[in-house]
Amino acid sequence: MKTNSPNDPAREWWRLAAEARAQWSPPGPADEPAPVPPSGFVTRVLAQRPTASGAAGPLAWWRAARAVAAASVLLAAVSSCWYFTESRDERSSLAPLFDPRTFDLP
Amino acid sequence: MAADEFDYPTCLAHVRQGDDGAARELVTQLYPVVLRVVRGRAPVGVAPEDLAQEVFLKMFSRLEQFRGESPLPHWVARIAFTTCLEHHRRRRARPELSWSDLSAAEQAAIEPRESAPANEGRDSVALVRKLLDTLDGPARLVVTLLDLEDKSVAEVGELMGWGASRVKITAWRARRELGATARRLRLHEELLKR
Repeated sequence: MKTNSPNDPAREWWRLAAEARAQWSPPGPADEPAPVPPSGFVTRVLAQRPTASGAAGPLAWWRAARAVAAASVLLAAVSSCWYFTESRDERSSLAPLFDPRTFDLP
Repeated sequence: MAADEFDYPTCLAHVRQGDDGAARELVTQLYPVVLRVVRGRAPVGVAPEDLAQEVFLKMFSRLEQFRGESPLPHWVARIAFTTCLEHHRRRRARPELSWSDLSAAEQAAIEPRESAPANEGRDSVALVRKLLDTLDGPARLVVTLLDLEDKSVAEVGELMGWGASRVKITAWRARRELGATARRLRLHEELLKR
């Protein structure tokens, strides 16, 4: 809200902005000729751009690394499940051996 | 306009097939679009050409993501705007503006036009630019778009990727800050006159 109230903390700003707006050049006025790239600009951009199609670009490498990491986590989860299940089975089969009732105590 | 007649879809198809000539043509055609966004919005100390180069590198790396739902120049303009915004966010140092930092023309612009002895020699634009530089990046962009480029809150929200209330609050805080800085400078000027 543009106010002229003496209590408006932005009053000074409104005044300066109103003055500047008349002379403010918005980026690229319609009547301005289209700028051309400076010499060497296009060559520099093309030299630095990501690998052309056909070769694996940085994005492809990132995707591959992410897939490998996800597969590793899955494998670790499955193997740990298997391990603990197996151990528990073993523990339960050995349990009677350590049952105090199986020992002949005086 | 030549840029409107340019066949972007065909050129894009050639670029995707690895045609360097088409890529060169695409950069040349889009350069004015990118520079129009970047110029005047680049943070202090960052050359618009360097920002434009960064925009084109981003464009090439994200070309696979372009679905063609909007015209290519609009998509690239959006990349250019977000690149400017990222640079503004990275800029941490906010200069404290003092009376001695202002040129004679900027000092003249501090005084209201009606009470100034002469209207000549006032450089309001330079003064406003210096005041805007004291804001943080996103706030500077919001105020520039709203108060100097006459964009609507909805347009600014769309460009920034923000909701309307965030745009309004940011603008309100920034204007209050700008008002306080301008008032401080004017008080300094009045003290010097005494």
